[in-house]
Amino acid sequence: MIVRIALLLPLLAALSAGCKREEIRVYIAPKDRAFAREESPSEPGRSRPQLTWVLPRGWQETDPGKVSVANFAIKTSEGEASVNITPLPNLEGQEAMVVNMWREQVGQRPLTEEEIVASLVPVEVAGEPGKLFEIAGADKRRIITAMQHRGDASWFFKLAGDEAVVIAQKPAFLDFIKSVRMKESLAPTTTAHSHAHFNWSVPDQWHPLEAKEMQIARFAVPERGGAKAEVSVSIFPNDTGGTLANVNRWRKQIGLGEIGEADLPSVVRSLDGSEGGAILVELANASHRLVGAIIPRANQWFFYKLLGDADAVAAEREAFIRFASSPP
Amino acid sequence: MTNPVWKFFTSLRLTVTLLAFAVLLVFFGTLAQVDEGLWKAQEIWFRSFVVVGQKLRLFNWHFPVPIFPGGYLIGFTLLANLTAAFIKRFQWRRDKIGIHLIHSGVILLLLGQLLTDLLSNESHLRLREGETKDYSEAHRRNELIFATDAQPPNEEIVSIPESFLRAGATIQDEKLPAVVRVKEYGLNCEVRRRGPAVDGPSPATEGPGQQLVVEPRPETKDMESRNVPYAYVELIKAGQSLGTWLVTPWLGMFGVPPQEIVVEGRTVRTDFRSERYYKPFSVTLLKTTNEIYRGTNIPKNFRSRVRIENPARSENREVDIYMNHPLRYEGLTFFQYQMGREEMDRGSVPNSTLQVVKNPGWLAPYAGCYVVALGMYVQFRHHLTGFLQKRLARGGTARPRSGRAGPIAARLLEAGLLGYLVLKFTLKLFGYA
Repeated sequence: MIVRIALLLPLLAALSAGCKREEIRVYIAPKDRAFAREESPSEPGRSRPQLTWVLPRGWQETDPGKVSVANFAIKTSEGEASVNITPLPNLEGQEAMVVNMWREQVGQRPLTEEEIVASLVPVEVAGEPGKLFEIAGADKRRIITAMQHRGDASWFFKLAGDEAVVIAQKPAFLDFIKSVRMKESLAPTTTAHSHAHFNWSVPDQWHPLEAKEMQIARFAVPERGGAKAEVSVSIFPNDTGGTLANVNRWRKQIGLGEIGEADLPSVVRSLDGSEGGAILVELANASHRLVGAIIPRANQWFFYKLLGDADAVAAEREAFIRFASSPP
Repeated sequence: MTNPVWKFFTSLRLTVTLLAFAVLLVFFGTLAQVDEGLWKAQEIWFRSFVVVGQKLRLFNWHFPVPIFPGGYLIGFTLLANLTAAFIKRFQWRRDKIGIHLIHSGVILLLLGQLLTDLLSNESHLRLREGETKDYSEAHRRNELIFATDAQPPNEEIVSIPESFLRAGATIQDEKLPAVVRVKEYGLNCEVRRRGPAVDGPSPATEGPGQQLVVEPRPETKDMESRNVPYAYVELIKAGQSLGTWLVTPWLGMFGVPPQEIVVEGRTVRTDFRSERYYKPFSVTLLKTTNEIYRGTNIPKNFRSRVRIENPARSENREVDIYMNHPLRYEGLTFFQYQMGREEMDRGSVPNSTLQVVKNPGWLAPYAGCYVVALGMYVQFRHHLTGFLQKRLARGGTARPRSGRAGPIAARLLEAGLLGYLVLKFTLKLFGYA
């Protein structure tokens, strides 16, 4: 008996050490403070300043795209270059990573942190100190970037393009970043648009929510016996791949498989009472339903989506169609 | 008793052999750190039962170690050997008390090490001045998580350990929002922005990973750096693909929030991040102090002033954590670990990293050492007394007759001295002296 007990002790110990197997686990935890803050509609950190500037001669303002807040094109007899202004989450302390990321993009070897710190030149950006760095690419291309950490964002002002143009435009670029002024605004940052700019008639029963990334507006519709649904609106400068691609993307969102061009008529119909080319898409699975509208308006495509539990979507379908059809 | 197993485990030859193997194991394990790094060498040599097919290097001499007992095998066999020998040779005699204590102390030491191995955990809490966190992060372990909204302000997190992510693996679990198919996985990588007309199409069909190029890197064995893994994962619901996402801790480091995926009308956030250990309290870094000796890089004073907020205990207090003065709180020990001096020099927001150690068995080695020391004291004292008595008897010298007061005073002095030493070491251990 004593022998068994004596040998059992280390055996149990060995087994317990060998049984430290990893497994999928589930736990409840508070949302990340940083990201939870982004979702709060009343949080001032969510706001992005409105920018003004003095535009240098020969620069042409172009579509800022989804990430930047302003883009400019420069065309001269020596070639082309572009300037863009992009805010990113605060990257303070990660300057070396940022510089190396751009260096690699133009085929240059990464530098050590010391080399990068030594290469940063102080400049004035929007009335406050910033840092500037230059990267000469292997293919006669050049990038000049000024960066400034401000609040919870890092602002990047980038002049990139053919080397001759970039060198010639550098003085104008430095004057430009100096002329920029940032005025604090409470507009949502996720897009250059805001639903405050639109005159659409939102049904009274809809409750506005903070728009998520790529959206210009988002609303919660009334609950129906616990069934929930949301309306979201996005605007894109193109039709993002065509009707079939959009329908299949929406189908995926509610767990449905892709369909082919031939099946489109069964889920898509033209949207009455709206501009030409507008379509209405209706999809459903066992529990959820999606009603979507794609409406081209003045070189822009408006995407409206009502998605949620089937009962809540059914109750708001007509209001949604009226909302989507109304001029924004 | 002639049972051969019993005979084997109670053999003193086994003890000597195991101790010799232990010495060699420490030597080999130390050599392995040169090429494998500390963490991997620990896994291969000390946290294993058998080590197979290793190659070691001593200066420029390379030699193979085809097979060798690992740390677990030596440790557990030694534990069995000591326990069995203790039982076999146990005799309730006054002159054996010291030996019994020494045996018990060594067994306690081995068990304490096992307890530490099973239950201890080290993580880091990196904070910028003014930042608050209620979790610490593993330095080398990562998790792929899927989070959904729970009772505000919480979320429900399903966490997949990184070890599950292997190219071609399919991860199915009823807790997951969808089946996860790992299309590609790398232990270490760097990422850069996708260059138009330079890079081919991304394996990612959804999320910000579409704009990034992943460049796999070899595993880093450097103690100061960490591996940043990546994976392209395809999510499949009801047999239909929802798309392929790039997941990597780089995204979080760039400030990209967790990627949102709509699965059957429900928004799920996914992130590949350092494994987190949540606390029932929060820590805010209020101020960092970072001083070095003039003209050198030798730290003089690294100090973090933090605020601990624990709603369950209605606690809100400030405390300083600095070198050799860790904070012990809620079963955890917070050590001052690193400080972002370079960032401070560049005028950025200072940051501080605290090492968070959870080791419920931290007292066991000290208790083992106490018991061993006490056993040695009792044993040597017994032998010394016996030796002196014999010597006095052989010399024919009569025992000095000083009445009863002499021995009583000597024993009081001995007990007082012992008590003082034990008290002093104990107070030192808990940071009071």
